[in-house]
Amino acid sequence: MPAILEIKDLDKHFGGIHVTNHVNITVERGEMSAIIGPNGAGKTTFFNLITGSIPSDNGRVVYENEDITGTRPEKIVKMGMVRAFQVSSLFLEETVYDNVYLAALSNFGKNIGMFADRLSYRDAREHTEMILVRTGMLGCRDLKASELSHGDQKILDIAIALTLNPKILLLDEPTAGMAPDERVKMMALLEDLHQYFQLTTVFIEHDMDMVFGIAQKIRVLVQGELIAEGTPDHIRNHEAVIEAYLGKEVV
Amino acid sequence: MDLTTFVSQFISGLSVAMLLFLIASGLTLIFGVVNVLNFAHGSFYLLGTYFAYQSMQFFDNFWLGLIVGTVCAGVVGMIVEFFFLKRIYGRAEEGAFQLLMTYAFILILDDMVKFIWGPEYKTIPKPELLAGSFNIGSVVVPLYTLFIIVVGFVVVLLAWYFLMRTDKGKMVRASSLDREMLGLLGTNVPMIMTLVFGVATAMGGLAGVMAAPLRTVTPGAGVEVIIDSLIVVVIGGFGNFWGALLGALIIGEVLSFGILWMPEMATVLTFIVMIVVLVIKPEGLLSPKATGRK
Amino acid sequence: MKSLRQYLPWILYFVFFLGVLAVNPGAHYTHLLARVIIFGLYAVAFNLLFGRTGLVSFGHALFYGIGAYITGMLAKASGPDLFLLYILLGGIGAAIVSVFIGLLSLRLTGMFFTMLTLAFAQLAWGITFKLYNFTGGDDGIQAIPKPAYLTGPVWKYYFFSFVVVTICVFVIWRISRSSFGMVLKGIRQNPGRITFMGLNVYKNQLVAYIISAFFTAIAGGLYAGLDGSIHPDMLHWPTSGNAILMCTIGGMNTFFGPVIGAAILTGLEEIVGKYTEYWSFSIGVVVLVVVLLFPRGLLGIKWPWGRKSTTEEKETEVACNTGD
Repeated sequence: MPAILEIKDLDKHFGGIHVTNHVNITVERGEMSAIIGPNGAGKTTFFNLITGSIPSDNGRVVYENEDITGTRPEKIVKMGMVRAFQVSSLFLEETVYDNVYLAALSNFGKNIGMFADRLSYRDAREHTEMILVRTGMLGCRDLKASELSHGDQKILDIAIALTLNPKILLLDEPTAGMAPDERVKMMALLEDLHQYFQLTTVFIEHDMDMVFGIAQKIRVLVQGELIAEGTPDHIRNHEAVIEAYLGKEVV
Repeated sequence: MDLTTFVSQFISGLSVAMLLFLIASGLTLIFGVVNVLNFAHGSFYLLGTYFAYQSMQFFDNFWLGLIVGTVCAGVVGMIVEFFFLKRIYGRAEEGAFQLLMTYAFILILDDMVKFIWGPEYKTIPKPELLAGSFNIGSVVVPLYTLFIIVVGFVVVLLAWYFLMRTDKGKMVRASSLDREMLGLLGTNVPMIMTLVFGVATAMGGLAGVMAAPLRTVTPGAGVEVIIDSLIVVVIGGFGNFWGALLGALIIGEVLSFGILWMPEMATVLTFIVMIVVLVIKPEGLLSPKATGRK
Repeated sequence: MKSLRQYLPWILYFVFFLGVLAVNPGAHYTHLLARVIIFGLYAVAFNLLFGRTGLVSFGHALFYGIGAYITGMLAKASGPDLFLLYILLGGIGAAIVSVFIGLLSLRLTGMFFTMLTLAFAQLAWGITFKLYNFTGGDDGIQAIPKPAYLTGPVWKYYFFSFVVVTICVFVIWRISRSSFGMVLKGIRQNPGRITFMGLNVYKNQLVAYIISAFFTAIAGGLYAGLDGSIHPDMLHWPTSGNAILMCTIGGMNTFFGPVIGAAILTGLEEIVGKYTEYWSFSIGVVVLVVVLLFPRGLLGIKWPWGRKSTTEEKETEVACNTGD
């Protein structure tokens, strides 16, 4: 399968700490994969580096055969690499509909209209409704984002990302802080989105049921270093991984 | 410019700097510990001046006036913090509300001063003890200028000693870093905040009394001085004690030499300094963190 | 029903400001109302930046002053025939200046942005103050002529201001309701998310800043004609502070709140000023009360007859995703 995203020798220091240590990863088009690792392994930093939130010290990020190292984050989003956040990042005073609709305006390049009423763009409206239906949020379209449950806020965060027509979706702990039944729902949603949109999905996760339940490929980061990569079965029996997880608990 | 002019201008700049430092270090202390940008700080400077003036009307003693002005400004400061500012801490968009509330206090306190003492000019004479001057070579230095510089340095040393070498000072420094942690350790953080506010506004009041014999005493003096002090704090770095000292020295000398060089534009020069610093190093000359930049 | 509610503020706006003309309150109060409406435009223009985009500029006096000085000096120098054009040129002049200041100051956030805007405005004030030959210095410029159709009774100028202000306010209203306005609202609430929606926060803020500066200068230009005089105080920081006060008193998260704020500020100055010269004390008290008790401003208060808040429906709403 052709690669959609290639990360070559990516490196980052914070002070004396090596948070991303010469990481090489190739993400294939259409894959559903997980990144796991103990707390402080540099997983979120890794996302921040490839989405342009923070500059890397060294290395290249190649997306769709184009070098995007140092490109501004909003440009990377426009190119189709979109992320959702560990702590859902919403417009809390706005309704669910408006949260998604704003993303739809951006997606269709209608965000610059100054005199027409904001709701006068039919393509954006239809796209918004399609996303709301797909993510099961239609029933609460008129609730304010601040009024949603924690789980629904995480789904809305993903819905916003989805509205931007991603080719690759990066999710930072989609089930963080969720109750067990919400986790099951999130798992089903992600699988559905992956199949329906043929969407390349990379997610960071701590919940092993989720990781081994839906990921086709798992990558393990420990102290900024990629120590293993492979199918769930491969990772389950990987010595270094077991040591990284168990070793930590023993200490 | 000959050497004599240069030295005497430099010394006069030092005294301006020390007054600015007294105000700005209070401003920066409040910002660092209480996390409030106190736009009304100039009003406490003003209160210091007028309380001292009132005291001198009764007792005709500069030194008593100095104490009265300093203490009263601090007490009013604590009242303002305790009864008003405390109620908006932690509110969403706190920054805008701080600006508004402290702005409201400029309007209220300055108008009260005008109401109580009248809009006309007042004078506070120098104390007799410091009326003279002495010579260094051909440079004539007024004793009062020396007094301001010495008091300024004493306050720097005391504040440094307090902040760096005493337990209370460590607590104050810590409360600017981690409020929750201190609260958990059983420290009365709200009380520390009120006290710091009181000390800082008292320093402003002290500056107000000391500056009075050199300038005209009018109800508009507070807003003039707050603008200069804000510039000092910005170029030194918000919440940075040594930054306030450096900023005060720069602005004091810019004002002092600016008047020689282009008398019309001395105040304009200070704004230019501030703009240059904000554009090049927005976090201030002595602050390491790039907090203000996108 | 929805459309009526949407236009209700406009209906009230027209009824009040035109009804006043019918009542004919006399020269003094007509002049006062002209000030209200001009300050109203200033506040609405400022609020596009302040309440909408979440940028606390403390330097809008600069744009207000640029509008006033360009209009006033042109009218003084080359006659008042093209007065309307001069007002427009004032707006354009301010917009050009705002590009430079915006490019520099919008790189900073929060208090740093506020301080830098203050510094630029104070710098301009200092220069205006000192350049005696050009700007009249401390005295400003008096006896600025008005075109023939605006001289005579005050109501003429009032009506002129009303028309100009209404057009400007309407344009800003449309902008607020447009998709660009929605982006600005998003920037205030969560600039980071705006970036990760593929939008450039800096560029959008800059455009908002320029628009705000343009309309602020229009208000300044109108004011130059009202009194026929301009003075450096128009560029001084209390003028910038007034914009913040008007928006907060009226309600910075509402569109027409700033107009109410302008009316209150002007009215207080007038009423209290009649009895005592200590009216800024009373404004300070009002601001204090608003900050402590009505932080959302007078129009932001949840009036009992206001629209039903969505929060009340929350109780009955089932978590929205459980339906499938």
